Amino acid sequence: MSKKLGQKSLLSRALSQPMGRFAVAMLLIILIMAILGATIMSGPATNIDPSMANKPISMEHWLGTDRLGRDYFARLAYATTLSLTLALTAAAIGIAGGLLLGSLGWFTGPRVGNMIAAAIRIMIAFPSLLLVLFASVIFGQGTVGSVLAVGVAMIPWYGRLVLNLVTSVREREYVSAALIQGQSRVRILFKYIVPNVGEPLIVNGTLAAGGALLAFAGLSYLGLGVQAPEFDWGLLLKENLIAIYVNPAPALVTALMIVIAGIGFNLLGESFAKSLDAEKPAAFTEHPVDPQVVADAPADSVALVQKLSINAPTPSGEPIKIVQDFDLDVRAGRIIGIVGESGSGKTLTAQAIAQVADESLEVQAITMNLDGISYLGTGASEDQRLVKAVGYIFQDSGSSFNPVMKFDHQIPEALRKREKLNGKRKHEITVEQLERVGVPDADERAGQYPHQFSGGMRQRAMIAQATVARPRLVVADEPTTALDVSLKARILKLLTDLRDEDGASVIIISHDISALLTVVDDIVVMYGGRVVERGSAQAIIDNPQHPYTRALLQAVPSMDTPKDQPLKTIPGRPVDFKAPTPGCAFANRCVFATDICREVRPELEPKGTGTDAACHVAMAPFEGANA
Amino acid sequence: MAQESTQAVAVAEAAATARQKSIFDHPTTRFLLKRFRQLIISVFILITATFLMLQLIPGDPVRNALGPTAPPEIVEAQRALMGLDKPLLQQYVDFIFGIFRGDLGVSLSSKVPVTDIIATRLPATLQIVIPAYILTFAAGIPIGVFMARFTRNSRRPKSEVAFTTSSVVVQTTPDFILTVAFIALFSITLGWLPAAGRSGPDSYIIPILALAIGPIFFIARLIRLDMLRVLGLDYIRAARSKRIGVARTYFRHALPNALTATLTVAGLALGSLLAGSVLVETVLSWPGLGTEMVSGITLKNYPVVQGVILVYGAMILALNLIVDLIIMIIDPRVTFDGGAA
Repeated sequence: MSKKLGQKSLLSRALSQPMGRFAVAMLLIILIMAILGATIMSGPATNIDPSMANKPISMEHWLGTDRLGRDYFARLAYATTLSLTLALTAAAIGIAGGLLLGSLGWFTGPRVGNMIAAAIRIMIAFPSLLLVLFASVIFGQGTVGSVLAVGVAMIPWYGRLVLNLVTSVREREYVSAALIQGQSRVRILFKYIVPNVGEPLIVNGTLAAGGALLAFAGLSYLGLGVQAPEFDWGLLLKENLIAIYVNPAPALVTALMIVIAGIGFNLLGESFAKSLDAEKPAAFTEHPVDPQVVADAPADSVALVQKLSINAPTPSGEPIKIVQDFDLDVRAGRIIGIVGESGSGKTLTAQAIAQVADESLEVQAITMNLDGISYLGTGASEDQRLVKAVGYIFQDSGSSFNPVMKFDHQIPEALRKREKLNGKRKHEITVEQLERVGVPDADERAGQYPHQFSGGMRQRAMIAQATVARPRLVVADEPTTALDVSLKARILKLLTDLRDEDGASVIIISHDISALLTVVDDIVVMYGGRVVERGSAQAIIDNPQHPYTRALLQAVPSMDTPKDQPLKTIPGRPVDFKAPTPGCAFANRCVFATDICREVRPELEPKGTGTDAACHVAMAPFEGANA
Repeated sequence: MAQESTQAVAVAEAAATARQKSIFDHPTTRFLLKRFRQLIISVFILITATFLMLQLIPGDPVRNALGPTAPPEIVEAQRALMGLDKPLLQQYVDFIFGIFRGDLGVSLSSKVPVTDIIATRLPATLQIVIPAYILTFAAGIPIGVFMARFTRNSRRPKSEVAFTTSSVVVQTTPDFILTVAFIALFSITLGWLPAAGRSGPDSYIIPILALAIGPIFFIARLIRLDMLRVLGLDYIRAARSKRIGVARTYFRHALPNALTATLTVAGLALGSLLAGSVLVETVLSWPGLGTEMVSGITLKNYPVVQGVILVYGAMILALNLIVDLIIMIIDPRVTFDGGAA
């Protein structure tokens, strides 16, 4: 009952796609032909009438007649009936055998199960047509033999599918629970496992029917399937091909019929599978950048960003506003920390500034200058001047190196358009860079792959890569997350060394304000895609003016934090970007929030304490990080 | 303190690297040994299955072959010649030793040694199968990469649907039907190419095209999907941050990673190309192994069928081995993960 329901919804979901409707239309043609072949066409298909021999295409004979006066179209319909019947029978044998073989391990235990799995894997390596031919030798030619051959050859293929599906659900809790209750394994298989793997089985059953149909056509064409005087598509095609120079239409229409059937089943299977898959990704739209007045950049400005906003397009058309009104001015030799919890938009902001944001995001700004050059608009990300302007240290060094390239091919890559790099030169550069960031045995390490490095080593290699061109700005995204305390200190030291040795400016992104306090000059606090507070590190530590900043600082444990008290956390949930509120984004988590906070969004303004903050509330003096 | 622990880690890692240096302990060697063991088992199963095929045929295979009217003495003589009167185990051992001696028996109809038949027929098959493989990759990969670039971020949903649908259509069309269509188009309608047989260079065009077109689209479709998946990964963004250009990002960074995933799946499609050649050869009366096998099955010339099946099986195993070795070369991680199953 439940299976039938699943089938119905699967079909209607498939029908909602153009591909599914196309497939069903094709299969309807086949079905009508098969019905015609079983009824009114069966006589004309086989009646020999020499007086009607070799008639051309006419209203009575849509495809003409053959040399014995039989109607080609009727023969095609007749063959359709037989082909469809035989293919479905063979598919049924394959599916039944596959179900049996694939679920056998469920009854016999893991040892036999593993042997079955290994046997299936080896059989799968051989293409199904060769298996069909092999089975055909054993079962002999003719209708029964070829149905068995095609069906048996499908068993390993379907068996593997069933095996994978059973393996994927057998560890589920409801199966374990049923086992503990002492229910029989047969009962569990049909009651709990089959319904949960039913949809993929139907999808692949459809594909199996298509495969059987085509295999049959091939087998009969070779003369190993259905034998005269019976005939199916394959045999009919072979017969009609002989006359192809005289009348090409019957051969071509027969071929077309086989193709239509194969495609019909396959596209139906595909659209079943597609309707099971997740929905489509967001559509891409390009939004022109608003040309507005560009402020003059100060001479020592390394990065100047004004009114940066980042939107993510959605299928419904209303983009999600991830970052809004972000301003940043990075001067030479400064280290700036961008702080905020995950989802605050800090990483996307940094990626947009460094011109490495996803192509699918809409990035807009009034000013977007790096090293004095404007990078507004699309297509800027390949500008070679960016190599000297910015280097990016990505968050997860484990996934940010190409796994199939050695370090000495990746690390110097940014330089390849500036100087000719041969293998030796690349290796030298890599060794030099790795030594600089303190990787031991750099000469040997340079020739290794990312998976051969430990996490801390990879993080250093990431810094080595980002700084290979001595860029004026280095962006480090969560450079110390997931590292132990001593490594954290080393990495932060490396970043300050960059400033001291290369004169680079550094942007460090972190969710952990404590990690930054000792190294940064300025701090920008982000919440819900906006800057809520910014100022010098000292001013932020001494007297933060935004409740969120205070909460972040209070969440930091120190030597004085009593060990028996739980660490402070910020109650409430982060911002839901899909449901923006008119007021302050932090209002629903803020202990100081009043009505105005929920209705009017506060602007970022100087608070007279050395920081700019976006808050309506006049805050009392800060009583220290651990009050 | 911090310095010390970092050094300790470094020393431990250096030691681990040194330990890997022993040749037999090297991950690549271990992977190759494991893969080799797998190959031996597969070869053993292939030989056993081919041997058992003759035993599994209902009735007496020699009687089947010679027909119901053949005199019993002749049937018995033929049985003795094929060794079928010996105990089963003895037959099995003889069969295996025969293979290693290059003795696959004698054709029932022509009395020619099966190895000679294979030696005459194999080149014709390889002459269409190998170019078809080369064409599959030479065309499939660029088309897939291009389509990935073209439809990235769902930029052209209509092209995407058109490509997916047409590739399913082409892929589903069996190669022997394609051969028929090509004959109708190129030989009959246009008269450009010969309709059958192996003659001049132009007679190779139809079989190679018919064999390759399905796999080309199959590979292209897989490459497109894997490219789209890989292009969304972190290391591609990292590669872009080095401003190395779109071409290098796609071909040097994304493609090798997409290719390993594609090749893992594509092994089967490459096998079916070989199987498809049996039909294509038959349609074109191509003097290869396929036509020989089909006539062998029809005439119940079992020694020939067994020999050809062994050759096809060996080709499939070699193909899978090559695919695995290519994956190993492209992606060194497989040797560390213990190898793809």
